[in-house]
Amino acid sequence: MENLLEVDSLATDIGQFHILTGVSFTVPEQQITVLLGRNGAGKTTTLRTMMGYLPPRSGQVRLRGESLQSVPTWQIVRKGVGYVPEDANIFANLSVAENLSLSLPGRHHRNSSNLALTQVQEQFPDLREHWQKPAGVLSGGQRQMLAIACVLVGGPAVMLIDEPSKGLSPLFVERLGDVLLTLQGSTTILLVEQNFYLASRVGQQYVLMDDGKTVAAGPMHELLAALDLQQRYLGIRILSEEMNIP
Amino acid sequence: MKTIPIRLRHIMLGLFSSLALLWPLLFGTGGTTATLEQVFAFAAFAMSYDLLIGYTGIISFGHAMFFGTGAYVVAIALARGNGHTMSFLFGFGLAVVGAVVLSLLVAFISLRIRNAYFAMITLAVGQVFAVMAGSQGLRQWTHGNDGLTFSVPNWLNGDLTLYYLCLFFLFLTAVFLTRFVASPVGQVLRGIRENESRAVGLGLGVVQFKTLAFVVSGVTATLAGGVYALAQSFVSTGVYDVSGISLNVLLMVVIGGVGTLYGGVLGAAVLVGVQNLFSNWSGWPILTQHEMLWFGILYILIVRFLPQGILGSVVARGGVVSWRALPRFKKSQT
Repeated sequence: MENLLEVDSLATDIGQFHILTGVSFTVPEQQITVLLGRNGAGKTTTLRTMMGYLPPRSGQVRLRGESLQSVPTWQIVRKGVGYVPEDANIFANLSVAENLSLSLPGRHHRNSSNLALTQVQEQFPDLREHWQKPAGVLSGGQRQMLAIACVLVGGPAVMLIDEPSKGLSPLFVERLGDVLLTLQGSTTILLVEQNFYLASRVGQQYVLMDDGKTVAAGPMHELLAALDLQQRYLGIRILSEEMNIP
Repeated sequence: MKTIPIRLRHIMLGLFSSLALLWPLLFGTGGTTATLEQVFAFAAFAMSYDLLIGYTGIISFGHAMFFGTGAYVVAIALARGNGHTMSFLFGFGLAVVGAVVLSLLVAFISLRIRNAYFAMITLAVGQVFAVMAGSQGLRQWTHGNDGLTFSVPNWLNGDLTLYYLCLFFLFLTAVFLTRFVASPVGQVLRGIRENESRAVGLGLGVVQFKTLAFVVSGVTATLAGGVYALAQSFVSTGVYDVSGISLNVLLMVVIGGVGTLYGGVLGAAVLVGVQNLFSNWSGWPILTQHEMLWFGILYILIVRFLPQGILGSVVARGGVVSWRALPRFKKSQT
């Protein structure tokens, strides 16, 4: 299995604060890798640094072996890295259709654009109902679906998705998981997620972060078995201990 | 972003075009058509400015540099060419080339920085042009602060011809800009205006698209300046004036409705019309001598009661504005 993305000893400062001090991991092709950690561990900063929004103090990000250092964000996207940020990830005053067509790389070619938009309608039936409405009227879950669909129509080599389940109802988290599962095996995804249930449901690989650096990585089934890691770095308490069950 | 419903747009265009086409035939040429020529030139200028502020989110305080340059280049070409048709064509051709170079230069210097600083840079560059136009060094070309009078080609000498040329120019500008903002490029510009960071995150070259919008807006404003100079047969340093031109065009767009494109036409008609009314009116000196004060009050009233401008408010309410729908000052609860 080839590694599509490599993050090597990444360190990033915001102002005078050292937010990332040593982040290293790989993202294998056509797998969903989940980046986990407590609040403030540096997950979002890692994604923003990888996308070129924040300049790293040191370290490297490589896409298929090619360094992305000093490459502007929009060119990183053109090289095949799609990004769904946590907030403000849609154009609220543009219609759903306009949001999607902005993301189409060949938007000047009507036939290919129409084909891509038809595929989105099939994959995200929720969006089809609101096709011509301003994206601002969509619910939180529908907005996340639209944000993911916008990146997906661009045909990225890898998608970086930042906490898509944030603020969503359990029903929408479930639906979001279904959508991500349909991408499993066909799309390479690096997913930042706080919701451990969703992360463990869709993730095939995990990367665990704490205090600005990576502390563990490997296949998801290993993390599911490593209760001490879950407890120490994710704050997941073991129910039997809580309830003093022998 | 306000989109004018197609039916409303067609009705407005039909009414406006019919009225503008028939006006000189119904009411004759003279004072009113001269005012309308100014309105048409300023309307095209305002539309070009709305492309920047309304569709791209770029605020420029120096848009007069394009308007003034267009006016001066066309005026100098006609003055040097004794009003020959070739000098007319050469003047407009040179103005377009100059506008492309100038807008690319300003965009290169300033579009990578934040909006507030961009506005300051455009203001400074605009002032440089105003100083240059009045300078002694360029006096042989511009006639300094005295201004430059020139003759237009013979075929443009009739009032009617000039009137219809200005109207035709506005029509072409409206068609071109309407198609431009409806194109995929226009869609990208609207996206940039709303969420620049997200546009970057979707792989859109924001600086390149902003530069394109700036060039298109600059060329249109330059042509509008050239047409304005033709209508006046005179040009002075006033065409570079910040308050007289750059801020007035901002007012026209705000009064008409930012992001509506056609609102600029309405804003230009209101502002130029009222300015002419004041300047021709001999009674009530309190009105005529404090023109800017009344414009200030008009501006405050528009911003307070029609924050989306006249046309923007009409569009926002589905084509109908009623007095009851206007926002009111809330009564104190205490």
